[in-house]
Amino acid sequence: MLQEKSLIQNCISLGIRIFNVTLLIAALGWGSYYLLSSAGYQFNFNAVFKYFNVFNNGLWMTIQLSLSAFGLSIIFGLIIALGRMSKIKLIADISLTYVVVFRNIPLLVVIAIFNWGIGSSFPEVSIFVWSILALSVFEASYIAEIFRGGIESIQKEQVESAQSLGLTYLQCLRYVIIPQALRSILPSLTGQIVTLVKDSSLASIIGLLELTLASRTVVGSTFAALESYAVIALYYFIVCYPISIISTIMEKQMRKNLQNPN
Amino acid sequence: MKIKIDQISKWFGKNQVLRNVSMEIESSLVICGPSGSGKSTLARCINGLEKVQAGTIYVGETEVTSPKTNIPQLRQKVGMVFQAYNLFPHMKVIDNLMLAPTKVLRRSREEAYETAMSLLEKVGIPDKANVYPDQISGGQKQRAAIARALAMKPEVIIFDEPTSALDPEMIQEVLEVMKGLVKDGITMIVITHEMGFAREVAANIAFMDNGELIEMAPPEQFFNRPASPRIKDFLQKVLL
Ligand SMILES: Nc1ncnc2c1ncn2[C@@H]1O[C@H](COP(=O)(O)OP(=O)(O)OP(=O)(O)O)[C@@H](O)[C@H]1O
Ligand SMILES: [Mg+2]
Repeated sequence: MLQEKSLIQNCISLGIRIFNVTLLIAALGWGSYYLLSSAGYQFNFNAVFKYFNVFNNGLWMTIQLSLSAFGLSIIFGLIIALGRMSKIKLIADISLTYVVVFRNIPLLVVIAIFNWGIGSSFPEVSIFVWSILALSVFEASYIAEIFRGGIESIQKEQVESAQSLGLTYLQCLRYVIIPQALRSILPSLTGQIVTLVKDSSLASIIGLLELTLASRTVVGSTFAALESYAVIALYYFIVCYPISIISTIMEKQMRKNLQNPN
Repeated sequence: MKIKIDQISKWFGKNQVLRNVSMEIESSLVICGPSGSGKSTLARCINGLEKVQAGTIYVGETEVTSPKTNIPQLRQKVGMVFQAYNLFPHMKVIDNLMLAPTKVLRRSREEAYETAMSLLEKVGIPDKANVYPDQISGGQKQRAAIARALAMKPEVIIFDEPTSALDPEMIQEVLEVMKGLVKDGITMIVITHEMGFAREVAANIAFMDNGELIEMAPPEQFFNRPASPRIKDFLQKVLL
């Protein structure tokens, strides 16, 4: 019999993995620094560190943008996923079109259309709002397919037995389908959050002062491109990596809950 | 509660699976018949899991076949137990029993818990309340599924081959629980080939073949003077 690892053992092995990754990144950073310096590159991190506040404000904007867009894209995605599975053909077709359209257009173009296209008719709406809308509408097409896959993986019998108890379809979704689907969805959903955080950098093209644009302004004033971009690379990493870690832990926990009697 | 089925027909595409079926059910009915004869489909029409194309079904005063009927509300009174148990794997047994009473009937958690525990006592698995479904045997799962249906205090309960997936040694424990229900006066519709059970508890036995109701009669008549040679053939096969 395979022995189930205890929670403490799991935490320790995860901790060691994170430590190793961090160590390797530090080694890589130091290695590049060393190589480039010996090749004659003059690092000027001091100039960049003066703009610490600019980076932090940019990061804060990236976080706000990502969180809002993620929340909205979950809602849009769920609606589109349900639409895709609708028995009403028109609704299913509209939802399918939505997915097909946004999966085959670059996000950059979607952002541009929202801000400069639709946005030109609504000058009072800020670029922050356009960024959120463009990003969530775009990511929703991916999240919808993730949801649909998860929901369709739940056996029809589960739905029927829930409905036989008098649950409405929405209650069935809420208490029976989604909790089970979430287990299979979670890894790809967290992957999508990470993608979304990284994609949010494209809002810089319409002038939203998030992390990437912040870095560009610092480059403009200091000419220290490598240093500035290295700083935001680290920032993005520090935001995204924990999301992946949390997902791994949740996945393990859920599998455990399912297996262990209490 | 009385169920009145009047002249129902159903097609899946071009395949007619119910042909002008009419019957009245008041206490306990066992439905048998060869595979593919439409037993499950008939049962599923009664709680609205399937729609008929012709005919009417009344459960008490409610017309199941009317588009105006609130089907979720109807199902609160019509429980169903499936061959594959279909417990919710992400919930403990007790939570399986408490879900519908708390969310559908809006009972308090305390009240739902009391009811759930007393039902688990009744089906003989109170010690499995805090266990996930994949930790218990098939017979225990089916008893939990019965308790889950009973937690809604239904007036009708439909069993679709509740013992067919079970190992022989577990069949009796489930049948015993079901026999107990007959005494409680609940209307039971049981699709099964357990003829001993049928003889003992059924008020009537119905035989279906090829979408048709061939005969519906009390056990004594059904077994001793079957109306059709098809029933004789069938009985010989299942009683072997
Ligand atoms: N969802 C469906 N779509 C298409 N055809 C179906 C569907 N469900 C059942 N059928 C068909 O309807 C007929 C009756 O099926 P049903 O399941 O009611 O039979 P049954 O008497 O319960 O059989 P069994 O003893 O094998 O459970 C069969 O021919 C079956 O193939
Ligand atoms: Mg069947």
